[in-house]
Amino acid sequence: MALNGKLAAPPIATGGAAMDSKSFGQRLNRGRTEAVASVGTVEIAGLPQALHTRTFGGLDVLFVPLLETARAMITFIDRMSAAGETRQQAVSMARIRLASEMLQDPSFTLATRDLEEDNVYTIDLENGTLSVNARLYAVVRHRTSLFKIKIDGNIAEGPYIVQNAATGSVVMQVDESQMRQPGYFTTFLPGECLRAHIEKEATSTLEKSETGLGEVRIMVPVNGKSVPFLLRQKEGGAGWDIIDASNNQWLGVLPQVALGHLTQLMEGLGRIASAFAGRLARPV
Amino acid sequence: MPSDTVKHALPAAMMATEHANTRREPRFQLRFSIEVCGFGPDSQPFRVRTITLDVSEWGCRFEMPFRMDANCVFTLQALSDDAGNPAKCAAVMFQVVRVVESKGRWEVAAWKIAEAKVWPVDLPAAPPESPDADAARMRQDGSER
Repeated sequence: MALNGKLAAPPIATGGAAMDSKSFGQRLNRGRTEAVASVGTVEIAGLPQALHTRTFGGLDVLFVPLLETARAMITFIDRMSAAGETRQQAVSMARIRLASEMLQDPSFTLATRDLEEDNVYTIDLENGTLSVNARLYAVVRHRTSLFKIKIDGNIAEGPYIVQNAATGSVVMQVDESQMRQPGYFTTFLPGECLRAHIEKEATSTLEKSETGLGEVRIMVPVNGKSVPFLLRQKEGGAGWDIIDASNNQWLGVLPQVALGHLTQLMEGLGRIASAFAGRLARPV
Repeated sequence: MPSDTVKHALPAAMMATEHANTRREPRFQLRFSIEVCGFGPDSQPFRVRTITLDVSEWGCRFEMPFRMDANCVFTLQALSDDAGNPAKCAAVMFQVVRVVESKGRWEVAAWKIAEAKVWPVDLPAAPPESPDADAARMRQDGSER
């Protein structure tokens, strides 16, 4: 429908696209009770400015409400287009509506684009995609690992690909029902990122690293996962330290009983290595 | 509005995001025909033609037959100048800053959120703000409390 009529403004064809009764603010409230304050920016493609929040930017609070609201906009665009509005106009209206709904929540304000923040959500209503750049924190034994991730997906139906933003490697593919589970972004996904990182590092460590003199590296199956350990002889040869090879953390001292077995194992391996080296050294 | 609010302007790049209290530029009582397109309080889309009450480079006031929510975003397109000559202006996004009821109608003050030309005439720019004006204004604001 043209915008440049001569007299009264032509009505907007909505095709009976009654607005979704649930507002963005109502959706957002669901995750607020146990939310930890987190900065975030929402960029809507085609909107000159971004929407900024200092409190509700975390993935666990914002991702699902934003996805639901963006999905309502996609439905709105389809209905307006079917009713005769140009798709360009329908997308423009959806953009305005999404921004307006978010700005009705007092925790969101307009801000300049391209802010460097922990959580940046990009909504492209023209192409129907949602993309998020975020930071996840995995805490294990009072040590924190930081992961920069990117989540990409189709607003209407998913699925969503989680990538490690630093390496570009795919961590996993998830569907929406998983992301709706409590603690998904605060516990499960950081744990998965950490697991993928440890597996990759352990593999590359065993493949590439040179073990120093007085060191034994060993992969131990624990609960179906391979856990890398490093046994390192103390200076002066007085005992051995047990180290978690995935993060180089000291775990303890090898017990005296195990020390005898380790000494036997090393002496045996030494004899085998000597014999093997002797065969190799023979002239052909 | 106090008369001294029209004396100075911030750099253009900052105008879109500065708090309403810090945006100062001259207003002109020019009555342009405009088309406003957005969503009402009932979340239903609307497209309305109306006339500006006054305009500035970055903002304007106009009357609406119904209320608009503060902070909501809408598009505004100038259709003709104050002499009634058709204008060739693109639609630009604005944000509602203030809404006041007046004689059964709603007076809306709005501010554009993009650095784009809105009006069919060029408006004189406000003089640039002096480097220490921010500090002076903060001192003044503090003393007024």
